[in-house]
Amino acid sequence: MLNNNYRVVFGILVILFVFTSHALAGYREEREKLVKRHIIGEGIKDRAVIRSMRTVPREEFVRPEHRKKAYINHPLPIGYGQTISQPYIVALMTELLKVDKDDTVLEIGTGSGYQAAILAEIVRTVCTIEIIKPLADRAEKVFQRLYYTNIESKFGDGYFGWEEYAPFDAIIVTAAADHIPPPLIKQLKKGGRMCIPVGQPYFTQVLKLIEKDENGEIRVHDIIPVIFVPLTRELVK
Amino acid sequence: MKNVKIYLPALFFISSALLALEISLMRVLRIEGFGNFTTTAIALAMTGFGAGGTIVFLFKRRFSGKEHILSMYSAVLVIFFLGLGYYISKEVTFDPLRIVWDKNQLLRLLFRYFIYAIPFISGSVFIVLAFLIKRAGRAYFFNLSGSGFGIAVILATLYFIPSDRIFIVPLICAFLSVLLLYIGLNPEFKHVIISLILICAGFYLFFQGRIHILPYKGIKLALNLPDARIVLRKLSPFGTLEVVKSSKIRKAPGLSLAYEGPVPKQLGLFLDGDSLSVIDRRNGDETIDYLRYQTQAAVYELHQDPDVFIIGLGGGTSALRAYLHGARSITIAEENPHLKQLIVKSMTTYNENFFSQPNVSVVIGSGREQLRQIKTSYDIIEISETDSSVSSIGGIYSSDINYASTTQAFREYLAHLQKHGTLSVTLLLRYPPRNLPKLINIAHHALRKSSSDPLKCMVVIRSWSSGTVLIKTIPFTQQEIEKIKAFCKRMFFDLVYYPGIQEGEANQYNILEEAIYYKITIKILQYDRSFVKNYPFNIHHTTDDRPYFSHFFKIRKLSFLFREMGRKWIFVVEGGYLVLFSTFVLIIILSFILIIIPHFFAGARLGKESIRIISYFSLIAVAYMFIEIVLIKKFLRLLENPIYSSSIIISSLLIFSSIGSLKFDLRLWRKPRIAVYAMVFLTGYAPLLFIILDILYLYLRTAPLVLKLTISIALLAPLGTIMGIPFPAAIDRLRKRREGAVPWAWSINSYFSVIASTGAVLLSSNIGLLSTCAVAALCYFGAALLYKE
Repeated sequence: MLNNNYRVVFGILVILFVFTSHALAGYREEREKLVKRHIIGEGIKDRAVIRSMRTVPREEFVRPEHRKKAYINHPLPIGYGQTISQPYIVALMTELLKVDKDDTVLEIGTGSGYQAAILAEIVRTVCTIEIIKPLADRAEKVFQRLYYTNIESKFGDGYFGWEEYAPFDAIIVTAAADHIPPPLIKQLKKGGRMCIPVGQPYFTQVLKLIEKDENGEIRVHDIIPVIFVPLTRELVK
Repeated sequence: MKNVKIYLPALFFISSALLALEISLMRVLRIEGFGNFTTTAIALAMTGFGAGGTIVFLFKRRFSGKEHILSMYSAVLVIFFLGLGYYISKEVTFDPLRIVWDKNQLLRLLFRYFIYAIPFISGSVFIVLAFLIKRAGRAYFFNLSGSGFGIAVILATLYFIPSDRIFIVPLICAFLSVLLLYIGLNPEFKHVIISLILICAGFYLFFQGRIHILPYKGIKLALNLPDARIVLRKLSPFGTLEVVKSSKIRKAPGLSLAYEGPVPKQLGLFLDGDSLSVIDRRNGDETIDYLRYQTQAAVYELHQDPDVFIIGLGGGTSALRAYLHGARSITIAEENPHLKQLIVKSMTTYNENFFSQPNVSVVIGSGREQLRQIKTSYDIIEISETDSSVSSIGGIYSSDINYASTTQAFREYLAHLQKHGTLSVTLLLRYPPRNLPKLINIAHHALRKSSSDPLKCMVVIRSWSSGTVLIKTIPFTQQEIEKIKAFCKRMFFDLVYYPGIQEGEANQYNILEEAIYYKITIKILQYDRSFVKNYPFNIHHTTDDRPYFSHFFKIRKLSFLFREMGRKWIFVVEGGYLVLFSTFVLIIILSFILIIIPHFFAGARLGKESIRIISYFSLIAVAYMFIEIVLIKKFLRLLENPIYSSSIIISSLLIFSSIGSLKFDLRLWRKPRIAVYAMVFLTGYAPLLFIILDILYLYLRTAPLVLKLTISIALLAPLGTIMGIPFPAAIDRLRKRREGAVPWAWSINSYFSVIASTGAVLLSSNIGLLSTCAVAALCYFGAALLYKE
C-alpha cells in the first residue's frame, strides 16, 4: 500500500497531467481553428505548409504573457523591436518558397524561431541566423526543447549568408531590409527562390519573391497579401 | 480682495510654462514614437485650456474671494501633475502600431491623453481667474507676452537640453510663478507646507521619469546591433541628430540585384531617432561602386562631366554618387546647418575629406532659394528622398508642408537647367501606388506650364523599392532613350515610361500583378482628369497654395478604402491623415459637450445671448488660429525655412497681440466700436496680406534674409496688434453685463482654438491656403456683426 506522501505526489501528478492535457488540447483546438479560418480560408493550398502550421505549437515561440493570443492571426512583439509574424504571412512566405523534403533553406533573422520551425517540418535542413544575441539564445533553447534537430542556428550577421551550407534552395529574409544583400543572391541556387516581406513593423504590405532562373537571371515578383488584393484591382479601373 | 501687484508677473510665467510645455510635449512624444498620435495628444492636451475655463465657470461661487490662493495652487498643480505625468509615461507606454488589434493600447492612449491634459487644465484655471480679477486687456497682455516668452525660452534651451529633460523648462517657469505668488500673497503656513510637498514631489517624479522610446524606432533597432554605439549627438530646434557607428549598418535602398560587390561600412544618421540616412565610411581602396547600381544613377548615363546641383545633403550619398560619375562641379543645398557641420566633419575622417575639394560646395538654404541666388544653370538637378531623408526638418518644426515638390518648384528647377539638362527626382515607392503617381502628375503639370510636351520630356524607371523620374525641357533623344534602356537592362530595373514605350516593355524585372505603374503614368500623361479625380488616393499635383505632397488620403474615398482594406488596414496605409481627421471630429464632439453641458449645470438657459457668446468667441478663435497657421505655411515660402516662419509668425502675433490688448487696456484705443473696426480691418487685411506676400515674393525671393525678416515683421505688426483687440474687448463687455459667463467665454475660445488648429490643416489641404485665409477673414466679419457695444 502506498504511504500518504506517495499518494499526495501521485495526486499532484494526476492534477498536473489533467491540466496540461487540457491546456494542450485547448491550444490544439485553437490552432486547428486558425488553420481552417486564416490559412486554408485565405487561400494557402500547399499541403505540407498546412500540415506544418497544424503541427508547430506557436504558443512555445511567443512571450509567456502572449500565450493566450498565440492563435490570433496577428503579429506579436517578442522584444528588441522584433515581432513574430502573423501566421497567415508565415504560411504564405513558406508556400511561396516551394520547398520540399530534400531542400536546404537559409533564414536571415531567426527572431522567435517560429518561421524556422515551420520550415523544419517540411525541409531537410534549416539554417537560421540572428543578429540579436538574446533572441538567438532564446530561439536556440526553444528548438532544443521541441527537438528540432534539423535546425542549424547561430548568432551573427546574416548579411553575408552562411557560406558553409551554401548554396541554398531557398532563402527567407524575415528581418527588415532596404536592399537584398549581394552575398545572399550569390548563395541562392539557380532555380532557387527568396522571399522578403516589406512594410512597417507588424504590417506586411508586400512580399518580394526573388527568383533566380537557370541562367542566373533575377526576377522580383510583388506578392500582395490577400488583404490588399481587392484594392489593387480598383486602382487602374 | 487684496491687490497683489506681483500677480500679473506670476500670470506671465504660468503662461510661458504652458506654451513651453506644449512645445516640449510635442518633442517628447515625437521622440518616444507617438507618430501620428502626437497631433491628437497635443490637441487633446490643449483642450485642457478650455476645461480650466469650464471648471471656473462651474465653481465660480465657491472660488469667489479665494482667487489668489487658488491661482497659487493651480501653478503648484501644474508642477505636480507635469512631474507625475512624465513619470507615468515611462510606466504606461503606448505602441501606436498595435492599436489596430490591441484594445489595451487604446486605453493606454486615452490615459496618456488625460495625464497630459491635467497640467493644462490647472494652468488654465490660473489664467481664467486672472481674467476675473484683473482687467481683461492687461491680463491678456501678460498672458500673451508670457506665452511668447515661453516660446523664446524653449527655443533657446533646445540647443543644449536633451529631449528627455526638456520638461525642466515649463517646470521652472511654473515654479517662478509660484515663487512670485509666495512673495506677493504671503500665504498661511499650511499652504506653504502643502504646496512645497507637491512641488518637491513634482520635481522628484520628473527626475525619476524618462522617455521610453519605442523599440522599433530606427535608432533603437540600430542600437540592438552587437557593436553599435552613438558617436555623435547634436541638439537643436531642428531636431536631434545622432550618429550611430556599427560594423553591421548597411543601407542601399533599391540596390540593383545585378550588384555583386560589397557595400562599404556606413555610419547611421538619425533625426529624432528616425529617418535613417547613411554616411559611407570609405577608407583607402574600399569601393563605393554600389552607388552606380541605384535608380538615381540613371541620370548620369545622359551627361558627361556634368555640373550637378543636389537638393538635400542627407548623409552625403548623392554628392558621392555625383563625384563617382565624374561631376565637374557639385553644389548641395541643405536647410539644416547642423547637418552640414556634421557631415562635413564626418567626411574629413572618411571619403578622403570629400568636402574640402574645390569643386564641391554645400550652401545653407532651400534648393529653390539657392538656385535663385546662384543664378547658374546646371546639367543635372537632383532630389533624392532615398538619399536624404534625414535632411527633412525635425524637432518642433517638422512640417507636412513641402514647397520643394510643388508644380511651381519644378518649373523653377526646369528653368535652371542647361538646354540639355535633366531634373532627376527619386523616392521610395509606397504601396498601394500613390507617391510616384503624384510625382509624375506634378512633373506633368510643370512641363505643360513650361510649354514642354510631357509625353516627350519624361522618363520614369523603378527598382524593387525606388522610383526615379527624369524630366527635361526638350524631348529626350532616341540616343538618350537607348542609354536609359540599356542601363535598366543592366541593372534589372523596370521602365515605367519613356516616349514611345509599349506596355509589354514595362513590368519586366520587378513584376507586379499587372503593369500598374505604366497604366497610371499613361493616364496621367494623357491628361485623364477623371482618372486622377477618381483614383482612391489623392494624386493631384501640389501647388504653392496646396503644398501638401504627403497628403494622399481622400475623405470621400474613406468608406471605399475602409471596405476594401479589411476595415482596419487603412490605418497602416494612410494613418496620419485619418488620425488628424478623427482628432478633428473627436475635439468637436468633446468641445460641444464641455461647452453646452456645463452651461446647463450652471443653471443657465441656452438663450439668444448664450448663442451670441458661443458664436462670437468661437468665430474669433477660429479666425485667429486659421490666420496663424496659414501664415506659418505661407511665410515658409518667402523665408524658405520652417524655423524662421514658425518662430516669426507665432512670436510676432503673440507679442503684437499683447501690445494691442495693452493699448486697448490703457484706453489708448477705447473708442466706441473699436472692436468692430478692428475686425472689419482684419477681414480686409488678412487676405490682402496673402496677396501682398505673393507680390513681395517675386521681388524679395533673392533678397538677404535680414531684409525678408524685417519686412515680414513689419507686415505682421498691424495684423498682430489688431488681432489682440477682439478678445479682451468682448471679455470686458461681458464682465460688465454677465460676469459669470467670462470663464465660459474663455473655454469656448480655447476649445475652438484647438478645433481650428487641426481644422486649418484639413481645410487648407483641400481648398488651399488663400481660401482658408478668406474663411478666417469671414469669421472675423461674422464676429464683427455679432459684437454689441
